[in-house]
Amino acid sequence: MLEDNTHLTIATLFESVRMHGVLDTESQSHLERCGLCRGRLSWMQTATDLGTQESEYEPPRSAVDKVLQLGREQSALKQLGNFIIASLTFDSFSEAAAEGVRAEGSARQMTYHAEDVDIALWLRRSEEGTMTLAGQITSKSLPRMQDNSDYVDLVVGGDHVRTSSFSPWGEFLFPDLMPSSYSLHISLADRMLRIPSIHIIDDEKSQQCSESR
Amino acid sequence: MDERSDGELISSCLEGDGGAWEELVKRYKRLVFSIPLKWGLDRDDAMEIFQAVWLDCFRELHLLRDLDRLQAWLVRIAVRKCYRFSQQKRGKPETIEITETDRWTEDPSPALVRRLDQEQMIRSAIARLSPRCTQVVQALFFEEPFPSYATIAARLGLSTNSIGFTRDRCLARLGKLLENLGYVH
Repeated sequence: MLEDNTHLTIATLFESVRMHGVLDTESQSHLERCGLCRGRLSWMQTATDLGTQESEYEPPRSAVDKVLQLGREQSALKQLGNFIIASLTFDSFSEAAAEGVRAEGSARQMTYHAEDVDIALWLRRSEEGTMTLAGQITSKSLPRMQDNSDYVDLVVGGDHVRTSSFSPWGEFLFPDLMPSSYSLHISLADRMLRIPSIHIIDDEKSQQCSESR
Repeated sequence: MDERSDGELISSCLEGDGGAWEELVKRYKRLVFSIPLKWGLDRDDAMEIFQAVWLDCFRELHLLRDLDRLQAWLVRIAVRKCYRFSQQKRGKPETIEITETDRWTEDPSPALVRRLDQEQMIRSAIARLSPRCTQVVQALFFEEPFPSYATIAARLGLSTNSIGFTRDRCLARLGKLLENLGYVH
């Protein structure tokens, strides 16, 4: 009988996994008592299972090249390094509209500010019960949106679920939003602006959404 | 040379080091591509998910810098994208390899996370082996049909009699690396 401090050899374990060898009763009995040998058997089994699939898991070269290209865009890397969180300056659900702020029916309106950029957001419920998020960016330094590479991403927990481009007037639109906690990432020239958290809740009778910073 | 951590690579990316981005992609490309395939998507759809995950990763780099585990983030985002993709395309996907919990969710199940962790540790450990041991281990585990020991010995320029010793030494080394990486069975 194998002593508890005498382990199954690596060769025995390997051949039982990879060559489908059958362990004798004594070895089986040791395995049941020995965590170390079970651990070795486990990683050998994982390696064997992975081995049959691993070549399939190599992504096509064309897909990898497209991904690698991202890291070669110095302007994009520079933009990511210039990352600014926009701050809430107005919320129609918590205060009366300031002079000059447009009111649109039952829509909730919020405005944000970051450096020389103002971001206006409207949240409106559709007849189907989903929400539409509309927005507009204005900036003294960017009177018109002329760079087609600028975009705004709607993000849920790191997952960029939708992307919108801007109209020449800096407008963007995300229709049919389900309840969730969203953030907005706005790519603007050499900057990346972020509105951290817009919660859309599923409760028609209460407020349409809540916002937290 | 010591391998740079994910956080170090992300910081380097944000300083404009495109090579760091390449290293990150190389480290996790198979993990990311394996997820849509395990989900049951075909290779074209898997390519779409693969590129979308890395685009998100790139756009989130400033937030990921301080994250302990980029791997867990990549898994979560890839699973969410698979879920959404399948919902949009054909409703609930037929489960192939991924085992979800009773509640159908867009977040990865603990069992899936553990399996992907184990697979990634195997990749990481193999990447740390010597070139000769890498060759031995790849022949032992990744080739179908299993090559004979005589074939492996011939490739390595060894006698058939000594291949058993080399195999055991390389397997022991791999086991030790996995232990150091925190492999849990």
